[in-house]
Amino acid sequence: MIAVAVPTPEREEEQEQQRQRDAVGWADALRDDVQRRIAEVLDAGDPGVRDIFVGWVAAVDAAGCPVRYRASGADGWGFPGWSPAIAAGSVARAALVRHLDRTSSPMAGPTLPPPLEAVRDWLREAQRAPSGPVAEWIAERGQDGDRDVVAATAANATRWLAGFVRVMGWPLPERLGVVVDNPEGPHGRSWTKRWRPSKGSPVCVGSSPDATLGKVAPSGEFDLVVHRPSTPADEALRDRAAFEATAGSLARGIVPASILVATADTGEHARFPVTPALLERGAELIVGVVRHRLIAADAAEPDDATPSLACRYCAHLDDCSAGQTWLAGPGRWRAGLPVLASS
Amino acid sequence: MVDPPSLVDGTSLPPRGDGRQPGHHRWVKGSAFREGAVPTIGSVLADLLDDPGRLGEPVAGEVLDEARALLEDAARAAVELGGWTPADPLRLAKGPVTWLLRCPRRALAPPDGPDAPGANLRELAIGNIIDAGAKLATLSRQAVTIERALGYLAATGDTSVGQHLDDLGADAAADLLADAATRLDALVATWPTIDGKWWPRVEEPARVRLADGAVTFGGKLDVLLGGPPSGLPGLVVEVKSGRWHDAVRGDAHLYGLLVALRDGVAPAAVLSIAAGDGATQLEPLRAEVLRHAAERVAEALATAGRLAAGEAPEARPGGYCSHCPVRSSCTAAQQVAA
Repeated sequence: MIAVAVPTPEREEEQEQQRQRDAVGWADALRDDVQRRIAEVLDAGDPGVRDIFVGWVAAVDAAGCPVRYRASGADGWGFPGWSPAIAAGSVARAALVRHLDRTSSPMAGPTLPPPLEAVRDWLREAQRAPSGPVAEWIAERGQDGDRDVVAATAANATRWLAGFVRVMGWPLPERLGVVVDNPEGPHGRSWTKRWRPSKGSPVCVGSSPDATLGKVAPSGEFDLVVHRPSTPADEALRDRAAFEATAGSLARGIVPASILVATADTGEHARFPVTPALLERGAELIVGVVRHRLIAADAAEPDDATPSLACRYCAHLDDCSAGQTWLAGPGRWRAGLPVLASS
Repeated sequence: MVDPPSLVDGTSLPPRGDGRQPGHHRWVKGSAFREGAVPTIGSVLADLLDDPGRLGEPVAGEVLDEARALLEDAARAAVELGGWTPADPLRLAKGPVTWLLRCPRRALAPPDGPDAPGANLRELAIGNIIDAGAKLATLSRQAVTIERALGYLAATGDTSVGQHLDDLGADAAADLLADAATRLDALVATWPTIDGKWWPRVEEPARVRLADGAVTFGGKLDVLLGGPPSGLPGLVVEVKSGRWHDAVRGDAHLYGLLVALRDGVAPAAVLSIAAGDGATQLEPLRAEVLRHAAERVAEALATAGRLAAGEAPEARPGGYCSHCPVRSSCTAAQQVAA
């Protein structure tokens, strides 16, 4: 396995703080801080805005280009509904846990899961006796005779599962718990996924680790594992770690030791120690989503577009002069290569 | 049937149990789908899956270390010239690599340039349908039809084929689908059932980060079988919808190199299949093949660096000019055509 260079904490002071930390007290302080900052943003905005869901997709979108995030509207702000791409991780984790639990015995560990077979078995069971949201969606697709959607889901989940096992290594780390909805055996873990700043708050922050490494306990001596089938730019990878560190700490009330981000396409994993700087970045991402949701409800439209390669595929390009200008310029628009000068 | 000439020296494959040399059925053209003819796409793949030991020991260790070092040096030199950063990287894939080597001017041409070839949309659509069918045949035990291939494309969010069919009108769409069905039926009729122990995966992504992320080189494989940690040797299967051409081989080498650098061990072989004429080529991924693939990528990186630094892109006319999206402004191509 190839490991990416481990990011180092910015200051020795932070490293010392991490070693001697109080993982629960730190999470409490973080909750207070994020709650206060969200309240300030809410107080300054339209009180009629409800249902602000802050997941990592929203966080990355809002940080990537606020104009695109705000323009995505209700369809883009919430859960877009299950699809083969979105269901892949949930199906793969459930299939993996089912296989591990069923092939473990008191005398021996689990057997290496053949990914396609493990996914097929789980899909069959999900259609027969669905338990949990993604299984219910699969069962509905089966009842509708939509076998192409089921096949596409199987393809994506198989790739996800194979990549996860390959990058994490086999046998899987001893203290790895894979996050699933209803764990029944030794290999699944439940995870508190949502956090609200206060009772009745319109804001809900969702964390979505794929696994935990080590016992989730007040000591905070555990890692959250995030598996990505493909690798974004380094900055986006760090932002994902920052978001999961903060969202996970808010949801669970314990600050984890580090975030392990595994990327299947490169076969690498990067460990991000949870530091005050990482949590602060995560808090910025979360508060940023709330801020931009409120701005979206306002008539004013700030000119804060952040043009990038994503403009080529943006549904709002026709209304975005910054994006149009950027694409019309001499930018490195194709694979990072300069565009051929017109003659 | 007369065997066409072999494209590669396959001597690193151990002999089959029946005494035939491995090169005997590596290269089959034109009649691979014919009933009773030897061998078929299916029989080549099925033989391999039945007897993976024939693939020999995969390349690992020093050869891959050298390949990575070569690419790392080339990437850093390119970054010096081109100024790419981890936030704004050079993202190489097989298409840009091919064009940087073949015709740098074409490498910089926008695909929607003034002479963008509309006729190619038909082949692109057929290609997507054939790819989808091959993936379904790899993963599913149910019959694969053109309707299922179209359904699979829609389920994966690919709307380009459906949109193209809508744009064509009924008669032209029916003609395209008939052409695609002919190729797809022949392909899937011989596709073997693949045991789950082979870890069949489709659209498998592989990427290498170079120069601290300022350069990436990546791609998506049609089908990948075996490889770590399955306990079986890796086998890359690349499906082309059209007729065989030599670039198919180069593409397969690049994919083999990508997986090798990702996994730390190379796939044992690549199997390239051209659905248009039934040509099938099995090529062991020997050390020399991987070295050559790495040298090609390094050369492409050097060209990319010079182009980004302002060098005028050289035009190198060839048979591909007729599909070039900027051919009408290319004096070199026009001189050759004249």
